Amino acid sequence: MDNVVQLSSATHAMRARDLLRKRGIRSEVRRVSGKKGRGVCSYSLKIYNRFDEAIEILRGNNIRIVGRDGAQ
Amino acid sequence: MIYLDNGATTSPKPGNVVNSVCALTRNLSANPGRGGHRLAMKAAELVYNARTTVSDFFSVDDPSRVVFTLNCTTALNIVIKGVLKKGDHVIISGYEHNAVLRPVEKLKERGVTYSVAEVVEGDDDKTLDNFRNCIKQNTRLVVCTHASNVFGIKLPVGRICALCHQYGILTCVDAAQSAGLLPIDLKNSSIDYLCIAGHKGLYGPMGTGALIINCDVIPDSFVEGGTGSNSYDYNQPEILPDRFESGTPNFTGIVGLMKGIEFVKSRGIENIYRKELSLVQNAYERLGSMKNVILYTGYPEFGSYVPVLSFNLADKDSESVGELLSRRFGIAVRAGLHCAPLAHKSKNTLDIGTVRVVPSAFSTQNDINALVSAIFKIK
Repeated sequence: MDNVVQLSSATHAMRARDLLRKRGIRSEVRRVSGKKGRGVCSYSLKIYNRFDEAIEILRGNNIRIVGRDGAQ
Repeated sequence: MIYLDNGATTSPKPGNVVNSVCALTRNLSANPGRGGHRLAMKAAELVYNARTTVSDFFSVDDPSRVVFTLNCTTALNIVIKGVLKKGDHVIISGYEHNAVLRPVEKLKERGVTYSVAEVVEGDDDKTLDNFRNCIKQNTRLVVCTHASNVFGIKLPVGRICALCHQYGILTCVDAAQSAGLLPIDLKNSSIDYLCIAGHKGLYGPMGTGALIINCDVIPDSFVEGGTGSNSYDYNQPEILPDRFESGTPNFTGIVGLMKGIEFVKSRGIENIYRKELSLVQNAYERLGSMKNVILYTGYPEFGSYVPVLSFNLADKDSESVGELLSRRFGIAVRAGLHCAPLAHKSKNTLDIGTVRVVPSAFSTQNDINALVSAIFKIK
């Protein structure tokens, strides 16, 4: 498990990172590698801790997650 | 040159803006939001920081609601052409710039109609009544300037927008002349779309502006193309801000705009406004005491005007006065219609235009003294 979520744009990825940072969750914005086919030309967030909680925070703030690879 | 044409664009720009633009052009000429390499990611980060700076400045929670544009005109066109459909009616104020008037006139070809609500200087109740009287069953949008770019008269946009929401009408405010001078809190207002110029009272470089979308009605896309996101999809992305930001952005300008806002915050909006309006008040009093000078507004009181002063000399056309000020006295002002024929119609200056004086945070009393002295000699 990579604990990575794929987001639709740089803006959304950076906003997601900042929202998580405010809750004490560390993450990093990366360009998506493309291994998931349609993942090319989007951005991902590598989440280093409290992954499931992070997902809930992003959903609660209307940040659309277009793909994920991590703990459930 | 004494520069009093800050209504067109502020000059000089603050040192932090100039330094930022120069340094980025030299050291970070990478395309933001496209590649994944270190420079592109750094550029994307800076654009995001600029977006959050703008959203914080206007009290918007979600920075993706800030769409960077080339200027305020583009932002207004996105709203007007992206919201209105055949059969819709739109209301504009009698002080609108051509950035509003020409798009709504153009939309007549699409079956959109418009009405002009007369602004009554010094009587906000009457102005509000005029807007109310223009409302029709099919009124979809009201577009209203925050302050006249010709006469400095401030419109009661808060009340106008609140009235529109009572009728379920969307609201769009042109803050080209007010952003950076008057506080705008979108969280506590009924403004649905705020259009700003980045290069005037926010002290960014030319070629910057923004649309801030403060409602759930998202206009149709205006320009389609590459966004660096969802590239497999043939259709323009729905997400903000990508929906409206196709093509390579004005990266250095956008970061320069962020620096301009930092400059405004460091000086304080209220301080800048009071300083500039005091200069305009001084010019108003002294020019008003000259026999041949014609002024067009009441005394520019704090809270009712932005620092914009229009005047004419009785026996001279405005362009001649502007030319003389430049050539003989080294003073830069704007003369003519200022792209706002509706405003001139309301003051009967459509045929002659006006000479417009607009100070900035860098203007001084000496600048006004030089202007008054020059006008005394010209008249």
